[in-house]
Amino acid sequence: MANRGSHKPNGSSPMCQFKLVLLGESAVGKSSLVLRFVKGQFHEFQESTIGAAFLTQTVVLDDTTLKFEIWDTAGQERYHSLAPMYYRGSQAAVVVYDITNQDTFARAKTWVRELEKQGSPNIVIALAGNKADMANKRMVEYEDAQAYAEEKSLLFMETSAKTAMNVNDIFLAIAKRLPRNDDSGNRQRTQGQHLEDKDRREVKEGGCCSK
Amino acid sequence: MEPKAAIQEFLLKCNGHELCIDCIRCDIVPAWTSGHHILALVSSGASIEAEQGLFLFKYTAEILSAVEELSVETILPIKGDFRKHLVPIQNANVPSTKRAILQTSKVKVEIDVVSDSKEQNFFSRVDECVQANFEKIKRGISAQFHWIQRYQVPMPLVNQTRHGFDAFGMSTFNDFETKNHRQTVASSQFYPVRPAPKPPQPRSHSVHNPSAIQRDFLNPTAASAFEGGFFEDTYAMVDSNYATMKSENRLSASDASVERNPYANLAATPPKNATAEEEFSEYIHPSPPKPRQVTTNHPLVQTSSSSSTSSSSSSSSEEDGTETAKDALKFEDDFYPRVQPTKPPHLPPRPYKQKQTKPSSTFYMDQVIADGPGDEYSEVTAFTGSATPYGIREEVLKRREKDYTYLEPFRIFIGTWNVNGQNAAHSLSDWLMSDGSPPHIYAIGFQELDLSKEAFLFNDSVREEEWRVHVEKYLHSDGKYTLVRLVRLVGMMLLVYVREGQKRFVREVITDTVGTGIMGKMGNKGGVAVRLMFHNTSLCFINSHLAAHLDEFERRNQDYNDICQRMRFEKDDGTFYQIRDHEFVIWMGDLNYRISDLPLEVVTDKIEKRDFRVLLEHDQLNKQLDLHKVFHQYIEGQIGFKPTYKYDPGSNNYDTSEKQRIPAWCDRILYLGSIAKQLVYRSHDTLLLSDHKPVSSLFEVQVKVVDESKFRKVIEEEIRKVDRRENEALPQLSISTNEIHIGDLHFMEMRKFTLDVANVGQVDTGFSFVNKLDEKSYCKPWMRIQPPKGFICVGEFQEIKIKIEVNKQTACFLNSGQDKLEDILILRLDNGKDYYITVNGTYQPSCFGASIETLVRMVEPIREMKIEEIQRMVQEQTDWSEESEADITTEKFDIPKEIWMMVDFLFRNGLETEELFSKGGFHEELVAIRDTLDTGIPEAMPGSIYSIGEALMLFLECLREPVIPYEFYNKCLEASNNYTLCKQVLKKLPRSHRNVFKYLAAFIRELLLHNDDNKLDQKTLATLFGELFLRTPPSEKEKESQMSASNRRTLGQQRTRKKASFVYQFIINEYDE
Repeated sequence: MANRGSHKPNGSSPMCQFKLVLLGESAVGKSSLVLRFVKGQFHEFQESTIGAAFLTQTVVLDDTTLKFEIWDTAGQERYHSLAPMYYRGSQAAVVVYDITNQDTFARAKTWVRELEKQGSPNIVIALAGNKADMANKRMVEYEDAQAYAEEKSLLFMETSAKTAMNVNDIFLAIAKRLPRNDDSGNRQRTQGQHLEDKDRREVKEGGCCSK
Repeated sequence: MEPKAAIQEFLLKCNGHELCIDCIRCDIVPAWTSGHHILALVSSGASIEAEQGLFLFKYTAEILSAVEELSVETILPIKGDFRKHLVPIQNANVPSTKRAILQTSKVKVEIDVVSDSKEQNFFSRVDECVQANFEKIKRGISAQFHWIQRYQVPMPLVNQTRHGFDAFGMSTFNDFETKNHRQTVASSQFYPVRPAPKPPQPRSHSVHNPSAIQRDFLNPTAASAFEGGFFEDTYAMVDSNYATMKSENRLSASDASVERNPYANLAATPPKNATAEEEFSEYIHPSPPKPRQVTTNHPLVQTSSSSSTSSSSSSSSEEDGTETAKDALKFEDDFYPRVQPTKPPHLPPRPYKQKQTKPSSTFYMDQVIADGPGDEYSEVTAFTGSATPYGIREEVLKRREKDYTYLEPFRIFIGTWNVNGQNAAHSLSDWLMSDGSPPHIYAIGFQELDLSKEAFLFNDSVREEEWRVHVEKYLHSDGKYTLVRLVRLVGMMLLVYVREGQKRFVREVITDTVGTGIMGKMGNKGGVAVRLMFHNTSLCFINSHLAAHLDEFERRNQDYNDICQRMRFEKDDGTFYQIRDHEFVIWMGDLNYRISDLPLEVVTDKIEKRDFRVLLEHDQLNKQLDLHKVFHQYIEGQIGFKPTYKYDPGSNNYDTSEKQRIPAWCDRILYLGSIAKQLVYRSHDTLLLSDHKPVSSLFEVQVKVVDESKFRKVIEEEIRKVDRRENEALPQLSISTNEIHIGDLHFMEMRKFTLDVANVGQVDTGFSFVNKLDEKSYCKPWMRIQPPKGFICVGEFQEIKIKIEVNKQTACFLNSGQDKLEDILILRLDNGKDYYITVNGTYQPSCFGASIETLVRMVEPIREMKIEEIQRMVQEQTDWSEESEADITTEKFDIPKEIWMMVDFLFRNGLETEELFSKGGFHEELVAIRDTLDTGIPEAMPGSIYSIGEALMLFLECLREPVIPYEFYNKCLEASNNYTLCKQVLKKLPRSHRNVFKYLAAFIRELLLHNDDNKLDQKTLATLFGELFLRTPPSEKEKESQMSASNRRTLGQQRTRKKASFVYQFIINEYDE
């Protein structure tokens, strides 16, 4: 399960692949965020996800490339018990809430707790306050969410799948925070390894992964 | 002539330089000398470390009279892991033979010796020799014989024509096949060596058997066949007196060769032979050998003649050698025609350098002039956009190259000089620093850098370092340079330097070398090359030294072709570049083309007048270029300088020696590729060291430089494309529904649903229902899915049948509320997404699947109770084991009313019915009975006696706890033979269960009273009710499942018997408390 899709032929050079899962109450915009990120599209009436959608997206950082295998999960409560199938083995998670709905923020917090307890030990969690374009209906204050994110060492951004605001940014921020191991890709060039070393150092110094 | 002296002289003649052999123990195998073989341990004194080889020489005359009669047959490189041992071998045909095995990790020589009085010293001599040098050998460095590996290079077929002459025994050099992926034991000798046992008469026999000679003489492949190294795993066996060196896998080798025409290239051979001879003579024979010697010296001719000798003169063989000779003859007859064979024409060469250095395409630079090693990597690590760590195919990036590169001119300095083996001395400024501004790249080629024996035999040269250091002193003083790569083969060396600031744009540096000298492989002639990527432009520099002598222009052409064909720059992935795969190719070197057909005086005169036109018309290279014989499509700049050869060293005078060589433009620079402009092309007359003048040229090359931001953009675009394609290629299904509503469901009621699944994606896909995390099955036990997995092609659809039925196994969990009629099915696509299908419904509790304890407390029919109430009652009574008599206060029936109703019906109506319990009822009647029992107390039970009978059995089967609770299962079985014990167990049963048991036992006894009518017997009923009362507990079933099938059967039979026996006790005895 954890390795599904990670051995697809994808070109000449190997690269780092990471599994990323989206979690959050239903209708907060998980699928919309993925659709915006992967395809640059937005549908006003996105179908409810009944299942788990799988998509891939490659991200180019300054020096390396990494590929996300994105698992967009069903948000409905009755599918809650199935979520571990997707977040187990994930190196990253985006927990999404809807800034116009306080309950979804509460639900996001329980997702974070669950990930802390049962997710991969070094999972990188990002908190996304979606529907930022509907700030006039805001029910969750930016500061509250930010404070919570800081407390839990989460990446945090308010996003809008509709306007694309911060959508790429939040995935890039995750990409930057992900540790890149030498063994995650057989780099042909020594430069690559050096870069990875350097990068890892930076990550360490930044302390963003340490909890 | 004393053999030792002969060998010394021989080796001396090999390269005409000072003696570097300090230890020749050629007297170690005197018996061999009689067989015209000398085994000599040869060490090079030039090195402190022992550099040694066991040389097997052979010679042709009875008495070694001239050095020319000696040739090297094979060389066993000796390294630290050298081993030797002797084994006696049993051979019916060879009485008392011993085999000496001399072995390193690379090669193994086996020498079989018939124990003959003459030979008795042999092994002790070998031993002595090895012992004497063993310590030295152990210190031997492994690199010393790399040159041998080097010459495994297979020859393209076109080249074989010239290899007939194996004067140096060079064929052996190619036999040490050491493929990277396997450790091979290679042969050192392949064609049978068969000195005649009696005074040999090779020449006379060669006359007698001319065909034999011709066969071999004309067939150069006999020698060159081994070059390809397909004789891997072969051994050389030398029978000192008679027999042969044979290859151990000669069958396969010779089989392979049989298929080839051994006489291929016959026509071309003889003249080429002569050529080879002459070439060789330049190295080994200072004077042209006498014709007779050519013949006798030719190992192939020698071999065949001696073989024919043995065939024709076997009668004259020594007594104990006859059989061996015959044997060997037979062997040889088989072997001979096949041994001239062939080899894979295009095996990749194994450049010896790369084995000891880093992988060829790894970025590699030797820092030479950099300020300090510290900043080396930081610069190297900088982003070089043109590599592809992005998962995008190189081809894609190549196609879009123009979108992210721009052209920028860079200057490349090319220098070539044949230094005639001189020590590095004098200033090189006039040559290397003759331009105002420093070039970005230097590529400097030397020829005849080192004419020493070590260089030739071991490719080991002190001059390499000497000249490198010297060159670096004279690189342009306005620039700092880093050595990109040094590559050398014998005397050919190529140095590539890059300006400090540009070094991070140099990558994929790969080198290769090709020897085209003696035997077409030795490194005295040939080429060395470096290829690299500079920014996004591929460059290739070749430095070559082609065949010498005025008339040999065709050989030079051939050398050029050989180099082109065999030069391979191997990448990490096993593929390789060839010379013409590069955007800009520079070919420099002592190409050795001469001015022909003009008398010396004319040439000298024209040179003095600097009237080069006529001379250039007579320049062989120009002629060959015009004829498209060589350097096809290469461009050479206009020559405006005097011929660069041959000068009296230390002067600017052309050759004044007696040879009076005609001056020639030996040293040239050609290029291929339209991206360069040649700025200058010149020679440098002020350098007097050599008999050649250095030549140089400066090129301005339009190099594709990567615009990193544009490159990034392209990368991102391409990645988007890849992602989009990949995401589009993910399978997509459309499913008719995500929800299956079962509604109300009763016991024994089946519902069927159909799921239509259509493949609406762009790829065919497999699908399967998968287990949820930590679950053992993909669906609940009351559900069946058909098919649970499958494959749907694009545009097709599949029906998936879902059946839901609560049966005796699943009823109790649903009854008790432990399970619910709910499930989520996960339909997973191969490599894609998951679809959820929710299944839900409400289970209607039934007395079927309830427990005795619950039922005895139910005054009302179960259907009239609320589910919560039932569940509460279930919870309350779960711990019945702690039941005490005090509980009697609770209002309870003695036995469940449902049991009473069914038994009572049977008691009143069915005691005399035949086939009761064995004849099945009807489903509809069973459903009616279920409803009757669940909904109320009817006046009369519906259905037939048989249906009631089956319903009773089903009821007992479905009980959550069997009549004898699982806890008492084992005790009952243990007690089953003893009524008293049985009673004791029974007493401990919970009261309701005991009541049911007693009640049913009484009913059984009642039935048996009517056995005349109903035909039931004790055994049948005991067995039937035994199974119903004593259901095997799940824990026991689990144990059973781990047993072997036969054990399980035996155990099952035992248990059935015991269960029946237990019930039987209460059939024959009327139990009463």
